[in-house]
Amino acid sequence: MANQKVEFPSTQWFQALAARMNEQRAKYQNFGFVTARAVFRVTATAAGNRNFGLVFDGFECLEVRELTDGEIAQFDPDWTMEGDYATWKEMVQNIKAHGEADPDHTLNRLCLLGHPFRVHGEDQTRVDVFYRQLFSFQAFIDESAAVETSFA
Amino acid sequence: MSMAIDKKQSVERLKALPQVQRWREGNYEPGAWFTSKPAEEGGIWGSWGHRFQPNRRGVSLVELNRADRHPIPTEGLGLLADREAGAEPDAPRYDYPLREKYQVWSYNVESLYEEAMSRQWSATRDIPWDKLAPLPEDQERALCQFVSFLHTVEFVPGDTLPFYMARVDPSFSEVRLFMSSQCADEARHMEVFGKRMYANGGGPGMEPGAEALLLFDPRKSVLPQEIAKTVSNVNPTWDFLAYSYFVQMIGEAVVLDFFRFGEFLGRNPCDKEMFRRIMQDEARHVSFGTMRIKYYLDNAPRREREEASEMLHFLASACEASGTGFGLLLQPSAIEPFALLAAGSLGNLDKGWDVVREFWATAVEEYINRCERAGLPRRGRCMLPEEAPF
Repeated sequence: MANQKVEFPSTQWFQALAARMNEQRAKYQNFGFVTARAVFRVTATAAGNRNFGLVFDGFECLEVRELTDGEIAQFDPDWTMEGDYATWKEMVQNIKAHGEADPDHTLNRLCLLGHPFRVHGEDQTRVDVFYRQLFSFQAFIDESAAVETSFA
Repeated sequence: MSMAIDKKQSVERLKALPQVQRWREGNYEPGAWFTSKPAEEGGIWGSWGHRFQPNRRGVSLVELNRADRHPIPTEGLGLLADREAGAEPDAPRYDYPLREKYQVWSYNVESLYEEAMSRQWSATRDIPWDKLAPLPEDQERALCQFVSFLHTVEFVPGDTLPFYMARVDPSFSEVRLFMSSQCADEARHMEVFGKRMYANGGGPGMEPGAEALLLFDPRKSVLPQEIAKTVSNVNPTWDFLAYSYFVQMIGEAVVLDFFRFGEFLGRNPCDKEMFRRIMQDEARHVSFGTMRIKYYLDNAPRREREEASEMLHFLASACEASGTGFGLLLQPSAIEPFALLAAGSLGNLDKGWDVVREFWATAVEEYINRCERAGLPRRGRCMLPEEAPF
């Protein structure tokens, strides 16, 4: 499984990150617990816009599922992180190349000015969960360094 | 100095205490703490029969309070004890100025406190100092001035939070606990900025005047002097609510944006992780302040709520117009190094300032969103320019 390529973006790709998080409890316990419902949105893929809803609780990612645009509101995310496919691809490749995001490809770096990524939500205090628990989310995305990724 | 009592007299006095006399006579029968019934049954023991199953995270205040059959009281007991504790009729009671739940509570205080405890870190141990890489001298100088500025900012909540914390009725221990955690956070931020200044070939920069800007200084106001004077008299010390707006909602929100920008600008894992850790702490403080104002405005008696809302809007207008909080983004000793770091070199300063301008717009939008969430709608009323005034 570890050597099989997983396509990005896909439910399987985010599940691979979740599996890595869940098997490293001590590492994530050191960062602090995570309580968030997050949507990672990849726009302008060959198949259109893709949304992945993830539920974090404690030191684990409990749920990963793909959502249609119409299902996002019902999923009730704290925050949505959105960017186009090209930027996602560049970030994932950068993490693979460096073992973790380099200074130009951290989540905060990509999101701060609202481009190329944007973090948003209905309620600013719930969007702020992204900043409150960012260390864990960065570590979660950095897990992709260990995932053999192919790109659609 | 000589004592008016010697050891022999001291021993005699202790022996004369009623309980000591009783024990000396061999009467070891436990007192009211053992014999009294719980308050629910008319006694003076606190409450009894609580059970709690630890969940995935352990014993969290969120679930503990949820499982408790006794609701959190709307008024504090004035006792230096747990809110469900019993007390002898003559137990000392204290007149805490902040004794109503609506005056102190925040919707998310229990979960924020648990999160704070879960996410504590050490400036000594948890920052990858060994990955700090030398920067060009102008960049190191800018970073040192930036962290010198932030180091000063940390004094504001660190110096003022304990004043309010001591005034909160202990019945609302969650609020005191959260404020204690914030004090610890501010101290750690001061520590880590202090260490960073000395760690990479630079050193502490110039005193930046940040504290005065956060606490409102009419000398630096753009308001007409007579209005500035009035606002200056509406000092943050007069009310905890105004304090939460001044410091936690606008001041720390801007500082949170600074920390986010610090992470954005970091060029090595050490600086990146330092700002990422700090950012998490600051976002909790902002969230507490925002949801505390909301709780107040949702739960205060109607007339007080209306007056508080009017007062907060007045303060907000004054702060926005005079540059309190957002004035930090107009402070040359902070924003110029900021721009230089964003530029990467003196030759690219104009590009650095473009980034700062974008940053201003983002910070204002998020501030307005938080006001909205707190029940203090500022959209359309906010005196801040949506675009940077430079």
